[in-house]
Amino acid sequence: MIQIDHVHKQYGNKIAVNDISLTVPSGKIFAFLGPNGAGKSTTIKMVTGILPVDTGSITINGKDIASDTIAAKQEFGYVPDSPDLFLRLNGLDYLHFIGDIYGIDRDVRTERIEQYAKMFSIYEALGDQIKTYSHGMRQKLFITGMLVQQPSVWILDEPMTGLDPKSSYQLKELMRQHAANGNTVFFSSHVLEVVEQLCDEVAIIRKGELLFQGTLPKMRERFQSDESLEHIFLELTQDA
Amino acid sequence: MHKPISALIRIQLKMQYANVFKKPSVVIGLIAGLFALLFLGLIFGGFMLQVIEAMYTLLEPSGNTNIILGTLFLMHFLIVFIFSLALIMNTFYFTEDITSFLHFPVQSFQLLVAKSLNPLLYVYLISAAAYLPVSIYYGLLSGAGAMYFLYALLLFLLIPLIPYSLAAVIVMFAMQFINKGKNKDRSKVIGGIVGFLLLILLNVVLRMQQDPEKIAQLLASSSEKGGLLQVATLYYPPAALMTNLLTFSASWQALLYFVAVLLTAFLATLLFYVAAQKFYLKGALGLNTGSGKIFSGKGVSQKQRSIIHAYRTKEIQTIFRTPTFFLQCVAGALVMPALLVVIFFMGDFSTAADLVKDIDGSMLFVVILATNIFSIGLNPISIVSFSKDGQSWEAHLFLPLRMRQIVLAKLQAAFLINLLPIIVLFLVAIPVLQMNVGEALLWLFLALLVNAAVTIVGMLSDLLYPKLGWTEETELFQNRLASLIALVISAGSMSFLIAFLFALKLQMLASLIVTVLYMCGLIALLLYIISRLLKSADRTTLTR
Ligand SMILES: Nc1ncnc2c1ncn2[C@@H]1O[C@H](COP(=O)(O)OP(=O)(O)O)[C@@H](O)[C@H]1O
Ligand SMILES: [Mg+2]
Repeated sequence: MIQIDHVHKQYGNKIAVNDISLTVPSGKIFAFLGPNGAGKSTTIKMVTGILPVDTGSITINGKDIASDTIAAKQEFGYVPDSPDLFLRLNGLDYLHFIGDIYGIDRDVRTERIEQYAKMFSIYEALGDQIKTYSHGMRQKLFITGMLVQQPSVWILDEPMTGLDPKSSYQLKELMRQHAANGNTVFFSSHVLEVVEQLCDEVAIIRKGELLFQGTLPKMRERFQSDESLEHIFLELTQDA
Repeated sequence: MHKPISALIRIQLKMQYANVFKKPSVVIGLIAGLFALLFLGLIFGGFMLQVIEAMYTLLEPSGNTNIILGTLFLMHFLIVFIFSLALIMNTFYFTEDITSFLHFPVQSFQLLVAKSLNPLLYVYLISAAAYLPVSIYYGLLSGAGAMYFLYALLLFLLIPLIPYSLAAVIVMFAMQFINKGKNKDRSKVIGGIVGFLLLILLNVVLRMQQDPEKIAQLLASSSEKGGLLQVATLYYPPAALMTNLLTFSASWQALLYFVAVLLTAFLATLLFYVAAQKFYLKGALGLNTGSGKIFSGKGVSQKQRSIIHAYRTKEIQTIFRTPTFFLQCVAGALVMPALLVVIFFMGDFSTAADLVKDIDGSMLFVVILATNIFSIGLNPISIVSFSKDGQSWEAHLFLPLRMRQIVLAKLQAAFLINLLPIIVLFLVAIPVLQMNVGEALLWLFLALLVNAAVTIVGMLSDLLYPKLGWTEETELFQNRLASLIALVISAGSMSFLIAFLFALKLQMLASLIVTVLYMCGLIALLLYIISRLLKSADRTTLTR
């Protein structure tokens, strides 16, 4: 479970996230929906401890990211939106690095690396440096890293962007399974279609303001009655 | 045709210098640093000029004073040539951004002219330091006229182009073949080292090949006016042209020599143009692609490591696999010991040993200390401790890592890599200085202590002026205030210790105790400052 409580963030004078409160429950797939520049990545970076909050607080499985940092970070796995990290390591080095940081046992680790790297068809490239990977391959490697770690909370920033249809389908299946096992899945997207296929609950953000939070049927209902949501509906469907 | 060049130059300037002068602290630091360098330069320069004055008085009776100029031009060529080799390899090939320009409709030479901006700036700085003072002083000594100084200045503008272009041609020619290799990253690095070794070897072979009789003859005839000059400029004929230009600056002949020098520089530039057009793309295209090997499954099962171990391994892998880091931090660190090896092997062993036998205990101690400080202090590895992570720094913010773990692992990695030059230097020192077991142990102990202190100083200066927002690795080794700070702190703290030991003239054991206490105190203080800095730093950018 992720709890975001009155979180506010400004870059200079520009408000990126305006006093947002959100609860991402366990056992559900939760989507964070909004057009480009809405403040999704900023929020996710605050949740993962990459950016400090200006005001407000965030807990992950009850652990405060600001005061109980290391314990909170043990709870989640994160796939960044532009996975341009550790480019000089090769894929396998990266997976072992993650395994060591999160203390994943040798046998379990070997099994997971083989299973998931093969599932996402990056196994053959594990000996190459990440810098030679395509955008989609990098994303798949970072997803594999999260699967090797198998944390209870998954946080993914626009995970479908750049994935081929097969990998995208597999990831969605994994997300469903993970949530069905009672875990938390929190991902962001700027594509309404993806969200409609996959998630149980959704929060809609635009220009740093939270416009809606609730289940999918409720969202569809509101799209028809609420003018500002109707507007955003157009923004989110046109580019899909 | 010139439009693309100016656009390319503008973008290079923006990328490299736009943000340097924005922060007042950087400007203040740079000014302070410049003064410090000026001070060092005055001390060293004053010494050099004294030597030249002595040489001048010595050579004046035989009319051979112009050998000073000949040697100057020769040395200048060699220094600039060697620096250019490294600078050009880095900026033309080993940067991450080479591919981002390759799809533009520009000629290779246009791209390379723009890319040469930064290396040329360094080349001219080196030239200003190496060439200007000596040539001006020579003019004053010989009572030369205004024309001399005019020509000297024109030469300053012209002559760096010759070694720079030649170095560029050689690098571009060699890189074509390196690019064909299977494992490119490794072959890049090996290519660099082999090239460097070949250069040294060539030098040695040339020296040995020389007919001793011919040298004797040359030297005998050199008592004639200008004879010595021939010897000095044997390997670099343009040096003779330049020397004659300055020697005859007052007469009309000077104009002829000037045209000849101008032509030489033009020819070198032409070669640069041809090599750029013919070789550059062959060497640069596809340089950054992978090996294409299918992963065999080797190493999938691996024993679990502690966090610090895993992190340290990641650090070392990154340094060894990034050509720029490898060249600067690993290969670069070996240059100094390698040079010592060459000097010692070509020189006379027994004299070095005799020299050492003459110095008493406390002095030997100081010598050991100073040599190690010098050799380890030159390695920039810890100055990029944090900055080298660049964009990947973000990962430290979401991974469950403590700052203490990161600092410790980074220090260990830098310490371990620094062991390489230490060991090489040690292996050279044993036979050369004919150390006994006790002295050898002392040497090793001091080296490790110095290594720890200098590594921490480097990390501290990286924290004072971090640079995470780079686009290519070479930026980390150029225009960095951090390198200057590290130099000032390590030189300052170490020379204080050395001066202290020097003044007290203690017994070996007392010196050792003082040194150990001083170093441990220093290390503890530095670590404390680092932990304070990390607490007050903005975690995302590491700046305050
Ligand atoms: N480092 C930054 N500095 C200044 N402004 C930023 C920074 N990162 C994001 N922004 C601004 O904050 C707003 C939200 O950005 P972001 O959270 O990345 O949006 P998205 O919903 O597309 O992920 C945008 O207007 C963006 O321009
Ligand atoms: Mg985003």
